[in-house]
Amino acid sequence: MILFHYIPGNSILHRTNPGIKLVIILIYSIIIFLLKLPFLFIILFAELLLLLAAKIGIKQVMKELMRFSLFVLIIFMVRAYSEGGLILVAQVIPVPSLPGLLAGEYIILKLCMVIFLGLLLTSTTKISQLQNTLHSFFSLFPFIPAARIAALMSLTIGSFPLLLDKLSEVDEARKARCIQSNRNPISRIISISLPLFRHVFKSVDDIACAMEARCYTEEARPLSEPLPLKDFIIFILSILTGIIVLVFNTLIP
Amino acid sequence: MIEIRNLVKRFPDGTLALNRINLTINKGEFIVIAGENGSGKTVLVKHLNGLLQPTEGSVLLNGNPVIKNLRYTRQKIGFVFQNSDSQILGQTVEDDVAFGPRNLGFSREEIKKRVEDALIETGLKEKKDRPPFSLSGGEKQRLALAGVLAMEPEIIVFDEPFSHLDYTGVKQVLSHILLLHEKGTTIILTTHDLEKMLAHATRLLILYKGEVVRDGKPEQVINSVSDFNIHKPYGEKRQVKTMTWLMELGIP
Ligand SMILES: Nc1ncnc2c1ncn2[C@@H]1O[C@H](COP(=O)(O)OP(=O)(O)O)[C@@H](O)[C@H]1O
Ligand SMILES: [Mg+2]
Repeated sequence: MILFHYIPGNSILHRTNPGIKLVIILIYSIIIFLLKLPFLFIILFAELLLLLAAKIGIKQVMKELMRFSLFVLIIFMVRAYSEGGLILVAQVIPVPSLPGLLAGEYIILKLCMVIFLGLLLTSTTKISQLQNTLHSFFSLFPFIPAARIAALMSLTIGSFPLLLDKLSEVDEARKARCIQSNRNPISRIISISLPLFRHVFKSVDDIACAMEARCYTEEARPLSEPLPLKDFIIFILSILTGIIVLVFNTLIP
Repeated sequence: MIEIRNLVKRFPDGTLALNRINLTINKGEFIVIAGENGSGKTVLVKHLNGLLQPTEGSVLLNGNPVIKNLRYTRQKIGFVFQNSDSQILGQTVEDDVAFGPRNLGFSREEIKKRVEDALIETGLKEKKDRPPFSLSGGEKQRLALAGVLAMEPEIIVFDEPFSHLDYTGVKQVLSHILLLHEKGTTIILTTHDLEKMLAHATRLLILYKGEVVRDGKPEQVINSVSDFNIHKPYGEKRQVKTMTWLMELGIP
């Protein structure tokens, strides 16, 4: 599994300030959902270039993403059926309407692109750097427990690969015992989610133990230097840029 | 020095995991805690640094109650867990080793120095930028050790350190343990498999159904281990000094 794990390297993205990366990615996840097809492809192209530059194996990523295609499929179906209403053919087989299907397709493309964005962040940013940046950012505001929020956010992001690793472990165990021949979707879903949650809770327990044993505190000394002011200006500028782009996007029909 | 007084641990579900444990572990000992699966080894050692709290009784480190001095205790008592995967807390080898020192709030220079020393000591310096999950089993266990060494503890607990390791891994980790013991670190090691390292231990303690049933020099205790479902290393009249996977050290 390489999905959402940090991949050491020295690309542009690796050297970019984590806070700025985070903001740009947040902004672009929103923008992606608002854009029309040709623009989507331009951004997709840019994403692929960045993935290549960061030496993230696109083939491997796609392979691993396919494993989670069930999720994507569910979202696709929900969208396809809800948008544009449901046409009943011969009053037996429900067939999604064309506009609904198209929206469904876009949603998959858009989801993939947002996942790529997430990958670009998590594969090139150490959680410790991210925590450090979030901490400095939240410290700008008074009355906010900056250390705690930063620790919580980085723990959440950090546990994502753990979840996926466990998911693929459970998935392999099911396959080894012929889950394929079980055609009941409900029991298939149960057979993956119950063990998954049990695994995850157990690992969370173990990891919490390991953290405590090494004196975990939210106020741990950051390894990198604190952010200079210049970075904050860039940070705020990118937020503004994002807002302006959004405004333009809604003005143009 | 660790003193355990009348330690009882009962879990909320009613399991009596430890029953009236009394134990003193002195500086410089290499104590092996042996017992079958479920005998309470992990539960016992987790009380030493306050990961679990006693239902009754107390645990003292250098005279101070452990649960009232968690930070002090956890810095003095390092912990290498059974499952090396879930004790990886950093995204590179170097980051992982820095986790403890960062929490202890040392200066950046001090953290750097400690991390570097620990990596050199465990032979992981060349791999410092690697993601930990790409390491071999033996390397992961050494990484866990490096993370502990960077906190400069007086006592190190190894909970079944060999259970996921192959022959080479066992030899590597064992030789590190011996080196540490030679330098004066107190070693507490739990296992259900005595053949790999008993030769180096100064003391053997047997835990059975949550109670200490034997405690003494390995030579005295070894003959009764099979009474408590622990595998006695094969060989009639086999001497304790041959019970090691570091043969070159074990047989004089
Ligand atoms: N969190 C828990 N809740 C209930 N029972 C537990 C818990 N942790 C351990 N036990 C029980 O305590 C006993 C000792 O477990 P443990 O110390 O893990 O054994 P081992 O000697 O194999 O390390 C076992 O019977 C186990 O089922
Ligand atoms: Mg155990």
